[in-house]
Formats: sequence, C-alpha cells, structure tokens
Amino acid sequence: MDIAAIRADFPILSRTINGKHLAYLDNAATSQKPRQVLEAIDRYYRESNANVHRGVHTLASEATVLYEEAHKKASEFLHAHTWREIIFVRNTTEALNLAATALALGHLHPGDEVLITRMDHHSNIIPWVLLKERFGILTRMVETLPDGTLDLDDFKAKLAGRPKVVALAHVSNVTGWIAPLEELIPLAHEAGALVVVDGAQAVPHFPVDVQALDADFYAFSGHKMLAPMGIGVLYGKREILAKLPPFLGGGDMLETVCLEKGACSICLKSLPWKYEAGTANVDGAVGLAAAIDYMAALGWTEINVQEEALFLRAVEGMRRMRHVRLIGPDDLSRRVPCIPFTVEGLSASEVATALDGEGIAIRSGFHCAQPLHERLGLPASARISLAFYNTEGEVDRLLAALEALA
Amino acid sequence: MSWEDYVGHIDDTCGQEKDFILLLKQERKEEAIGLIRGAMTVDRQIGNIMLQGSLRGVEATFFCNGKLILKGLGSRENLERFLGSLFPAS
Repeated sequence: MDIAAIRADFPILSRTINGKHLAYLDNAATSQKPRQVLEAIDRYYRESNANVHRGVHTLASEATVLYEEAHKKASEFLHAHTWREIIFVRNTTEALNLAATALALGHLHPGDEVLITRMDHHSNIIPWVLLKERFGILTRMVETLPDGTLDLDDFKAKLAGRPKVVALAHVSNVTGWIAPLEELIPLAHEAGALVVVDGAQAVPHFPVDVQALDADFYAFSGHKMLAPMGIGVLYGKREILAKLPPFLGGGDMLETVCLEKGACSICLKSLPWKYEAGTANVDGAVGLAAAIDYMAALGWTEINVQEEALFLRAVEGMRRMRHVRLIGPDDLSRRVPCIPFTVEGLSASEVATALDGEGIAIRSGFHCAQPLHERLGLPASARISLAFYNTEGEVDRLLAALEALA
Repeated sequence: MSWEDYVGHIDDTCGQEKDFILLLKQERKEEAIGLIRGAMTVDRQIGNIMLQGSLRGVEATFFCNGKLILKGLGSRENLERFLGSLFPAS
C-alpha cells in the first residue's frame, strides 16, 4: 500500500492541531473523507442537482440515475440479492429504528420478546426498549463476559424463550470484537427469530455478505466508511420488507392516493421507495457510491494488511505500559482495530484531552455503550480506533504520548 | 468583564462522572491561565502536560494547551457560579 499516496487523498490529514500534525485515531466515531468523495458530491451539485423521481427534465433524470446507481452500489457492497433490498436512511440509528418500528407494526404482537445484547451500541438497544411503551413488546438482554465479548451460552439459553427478533451488533463499537454471526444467526432462525444486525463497525473493515450470513436486516452508516454524514443503509430481505408497513409517510413513497368521502386509500410504491418518503439525500448517496468505489479500488486485502499491522503495533506497545490497562479480548484475530483502555490515575477525558494537546484525536466516554461499561465496571474508557490511512508514525506518536502519562 | 470573557467553550464529558471541559478564549488565555494557576493547589504534575489538583475546593485538571477540566460540580448552574468566583466581574 502506497500510504503517502493514500493520505494525499485525504485533505484533512494534512492539518495541524495545537501546532502538531493531526493523528486522527477516532475512526470508529467517523472516518475522514477522500477527495474522490468530496469531488463526487461537489460535481453532483455543480452539474446534476435536482429532485429525484419527480421530473422529466434532464437534471431530474441524471439525479435519479445517480441515486438509483448508489442503491445498486450499496447492494453489491453488501452482496444483497437485489438493490430493491437497500433502503437509504440517515444513519445506522435511523435504520435500526425503521426496522424496529416496521417490525412492531407488521410482525410483532404485545408480549412478544426481542433479544438484545449488552455489548451493543445504544442505537441497537433503545429502539427496541421503546417498543414496550408503544406496542407492549418486551426485551431481554444477553449478557457479556468479563472481556466484553458476548456470552454465547447466555445467548443460546435465552433463545429458549423463543424471541421473535434478535438484535445484535456485528462488531462491538467498544472492543472491536467480531460476533460469530455465522454461528448465531442460524441458531436464532432455528428458534424462530428474525435477526437485525448493526453493521456500523463492520463495513469499514471487512467485506460483508448478507446472503451468506442470512441476516434478515443489516444496518450501517456511510460516514464511518469514507462517505459523508447523513446517509445510511438498511438492508432487508425482500420478502420481509414487502410484507411490512412503511415507517414514514409522505411524498415519493406512493403510486396513488385517493381521498374521497372522508376515506383515504393509498397504493404504495415498490421497494425500496415505500420506505423512502420525502426528498432523498441524493448528495449523500452520491458520496456513498464514491466511497464504495474508493474502497473497492484499494481492495480489502490492502486495507486489512495495513490495519492489522497498525493494530498489532499499537496493542503491543500499550501492553508494555504498566500504567495502561487494555480492555477487550486478548485475541486480536477476531477484532477490528479498536482499542479501549484506561490510564491509571487519569479519567478517560483527561487522557483524551492530554492526547489532543499532542494533535492526537481519540474518543473518551461511554461510546454510547453504557450497559457494557457498567458490566466492565468502568465509569468511562478512552478508545483508539484505527483506519487504513493511519501510519506507523502516528501509532508511535500515540505510544510516546501515552508513555508520558505515566 | 465576566467569566464569559475568559471561557470560549464548555463541553460536558461523556461517562459516569459528568465533568466539564473548558476551552479558554485565545485573546484572554494568558490572563486566564494566570488566574487559574494562582488559585490552583497542585497535587500532581505530569510532565509539561497537565496539573491535577483543586481550584477553590473543586477537583480540577489544567492542561498546558489551555484546557481545564472541572469535576464534581454536578450542574451547569453550579459551574457558572464557580466560574463567576474564579473570574470575578470587574
């Protein structure tokens, strides 16, 4: 990998912070954007901006083609059966809320159970918990082990309660641990549950094949994988999406609407449009398509080799520091490059603020995973998360800055 | 003059303990640093990176880049009252 050439694609990486070169190690929060993505968005607004599906003029046609092509790119990216299984939303949170609400409206009944997990981001916990008040739907939580990974025995035991839905993350946004979906999804299906997967932390790091996984729903955000903020994807199996009612009502999701004698009859559009009411985020979709192209041009092998080398370098360096405590499983082979940790005598926000003084950007807090932090007995944690455009030099600067906190 | 002339931005920290991170205004940074250092009882210094200690009885960490973390104040109202005493109006 020509890391210098790749970094030249990311304008923000040449910034300085507090007089130091930026070392951006907060990629699990959001990724930086290459100029190819920025230029695609800029080109869209300069040359093709129009509202989609609503006009016969040339710009409207161009914008519609770009928007639909983006669905096809996202479909290929997830290896979906058809692009009609790809719904564009704002982000993973909206995708999971869409799945939860549509399932509550069209599949679940009062008293039904949804299995959620302690390792998940709030985005895949709260939408399900909120269903109780509105629909009488119950949740049960699968516990985690002391290293923050899912307790697979507890998962299997709680499937005996015959949940109707299992909602879980493909990758923990705290520990970076990759859940064994290839084992868990068949078990959930055998128990009669549909499976909703939060893939936000998976798609930036390895290829996902929703058909091979047999996931019923799979959600991710564009902004964590080089695309702009405000565009996300909900994949759903066509036969399930076809049966469920829409989440939002409004323009662009109807074939016909008839209001007569106080009654309203509507005919919904085909998939995915019945789930995409209102003016679409076309520039976000264009940016997402450009991000997918960028990652495809790099290739997963190149991305993985670089990320694994950086991950190992960072973890090995941190393991040598007596004042640093690493959180998460020791086995790095089932983790993406995400490193939660604490520093003796310092709060997580003190660590992050100190590193910011060195131009190093990391995260501190609960990372929207308070139940997991409670289980780990931590008031908060600091988190380093790496991407392929990071360098050994940046990792070494991080290690030196952490060493200085002893 | 009030504390708002010295403090440019206030963030809540994320985590169990809701602390506050303050960013000093560039144009009054040196003056503000002087007031903070003068009022601070230092328990621990980590290189040229930070000072841990207390400010008028409030647990505080001061960073050489001009950021200040204040702990245990609980609410924004308490924070603003404290800042009013640290940076008295003139």
